[in-house]
Amino acid sequence: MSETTTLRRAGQAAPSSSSRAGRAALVRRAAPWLLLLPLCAVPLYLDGSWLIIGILGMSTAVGAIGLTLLVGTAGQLSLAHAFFVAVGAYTYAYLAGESGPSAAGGLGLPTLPAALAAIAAAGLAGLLFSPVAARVGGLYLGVASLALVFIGEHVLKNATPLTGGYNGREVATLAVGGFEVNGGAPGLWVLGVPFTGRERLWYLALAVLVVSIVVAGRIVRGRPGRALQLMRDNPAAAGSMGVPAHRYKAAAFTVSSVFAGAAGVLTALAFEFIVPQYFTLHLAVLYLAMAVIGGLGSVPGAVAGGLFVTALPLVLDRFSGSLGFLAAPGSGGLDAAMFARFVFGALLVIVLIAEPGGLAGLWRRLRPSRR
Amino acid sequence: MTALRLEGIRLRFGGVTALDGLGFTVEPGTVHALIGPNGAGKSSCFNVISGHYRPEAGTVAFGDDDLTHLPPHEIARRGVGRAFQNIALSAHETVLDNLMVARHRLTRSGFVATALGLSRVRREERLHQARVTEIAEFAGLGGKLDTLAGALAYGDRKRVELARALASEPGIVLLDEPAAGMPSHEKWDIAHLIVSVRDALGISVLLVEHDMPMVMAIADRVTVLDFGRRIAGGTPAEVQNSPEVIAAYLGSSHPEAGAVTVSPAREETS
Repeated sequence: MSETTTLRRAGQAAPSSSSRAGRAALVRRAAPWLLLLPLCAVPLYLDGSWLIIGILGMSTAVGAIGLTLLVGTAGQLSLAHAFFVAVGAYTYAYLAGESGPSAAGGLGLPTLPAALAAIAAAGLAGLLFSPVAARVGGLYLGVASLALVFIGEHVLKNATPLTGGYNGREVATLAVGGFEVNGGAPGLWVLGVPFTGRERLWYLALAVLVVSIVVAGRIVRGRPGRALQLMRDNPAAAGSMGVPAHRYKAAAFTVSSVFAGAAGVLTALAFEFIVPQYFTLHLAVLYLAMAVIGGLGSVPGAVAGGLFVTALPLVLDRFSGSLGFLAAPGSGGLDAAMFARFVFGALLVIVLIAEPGGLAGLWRRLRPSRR
Repeated sequence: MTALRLEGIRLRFGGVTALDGLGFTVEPGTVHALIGPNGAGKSSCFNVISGHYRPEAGTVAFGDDDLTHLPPHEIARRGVGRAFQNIALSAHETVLDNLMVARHRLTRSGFVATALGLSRVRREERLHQARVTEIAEFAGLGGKLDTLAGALAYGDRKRVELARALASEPGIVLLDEPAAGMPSHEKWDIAHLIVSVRDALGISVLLVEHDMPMVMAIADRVTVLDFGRRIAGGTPAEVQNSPEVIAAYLGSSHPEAGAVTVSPAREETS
């Protein structure tokens, strides 16, 4: 391991190879983008029932990025993430929904502005709660934010004209200039594969995820991220470096809600029908598990955690027929969802004991040549 | 050039009076040492100046700015830098990132601009990285910018702590035991560094340090605290000969308390 380090350093020291070092840096920068190519080809090969797992995984990964900024980078515990995901999902459904004879109403706005407004609404909800987030720190914020989840659940179940109540509500198809992003109209074939709702939504989810990764990475590495990290590690020092603690805690909370809102819109589009039973404390805890398993404060880690935590029960469920030890869902036995929960629980304990850096820490350990 | 002025500072924790009518002035362009036995109130005094403690009475002023009731970040913005005694770095960040935090008050890029990766954000980053690199070299951290702060040796971490205080381009810098726990030769490196902070950068230094030979060698002025009061002040030579100082340090009868307070616990540990 140390050999590679010395070799690389020696190579950089030689003046003739400086362009080679520059090229190596370029390759390192370009490598993640090359990964996009196979990801873009996925809808050509997998059918919708597999794509939806990926879409949901990417959607929650977007939310997990937001949470890792808050919990990992800023050191503020929040159990309210599911609430802001719900705000995004339901705001989109309400703004874009047609007001018809069905139980839930809607404003029937054009869907793209409705989606953007829904993300903004989640950010606004975060901003409204941020005075609390700015004044209460760490564990106490976790407890305070818990209230939001319960209030949210209550509102979702009872504000029937907006949310459809217990039975949930339909989610309008997102269309950009007449082209449905999670629907089949107008018809589209790519290399002989019909691109309907899920194929198209795959690309939207992928695009939003990429934007989220880039944006969050910039924030973490930039001036705001450095301020948040010092505030987490040493609040007194952060103050003496000129970081206004209240403002930065509030901002971190708001930014994290914006990501949650985007995750909410994507999730709603993927489900096509949203019910309050999804946006519960259970989801909030799952989001935390994603951030921790991925490695707190690591954006790629949050993505890996989000994909893993979301996909595991779904994939297990697909294979439950051939995996002898899993019972059918609802049969009262150990079904895929239950088994996945055991896996998450065990993983959380293992991560906290063995590798507090999570998946991201494991990755760094396997490739020590990058400092 | 601005002077830091403390007047009549009183600070109490419950029944314990930590600072009792403390007042002194750090003249611009000087190294001013604050000395006294353990528990004399030196660190409390630092915490009052930098806004972490709020005094019951008295004022702290830096030039024309009244700092007394300002929060820490506002005090930092007015040009008061601080290095902490128990190294307060982000261990998992590089030295460069640790130093860049100190540019906070000098930079503008917020969440949105940074997220969008605007060209002015990148320009600002480049500009300030260049300056921070200079400061790191000045502090003897030249080749260590990409090292994780937590991976550095103790002495280097103390240097990062000091360099970070300098990186905020302060008018005055508070150094809380910058050489504590260092071997003798490194101590004198730090001493030289402090002198060049004054001479080359023109920054006033308020210094808490237990190493008396070092204090006497580099300080222009010395203020001596005991039980939260200023018991002596002046040039190092004046202070060394003051009977109150000798009494406080050797633990003979305390002039104010009127009782004999010989306490081995208050002997210097460094």
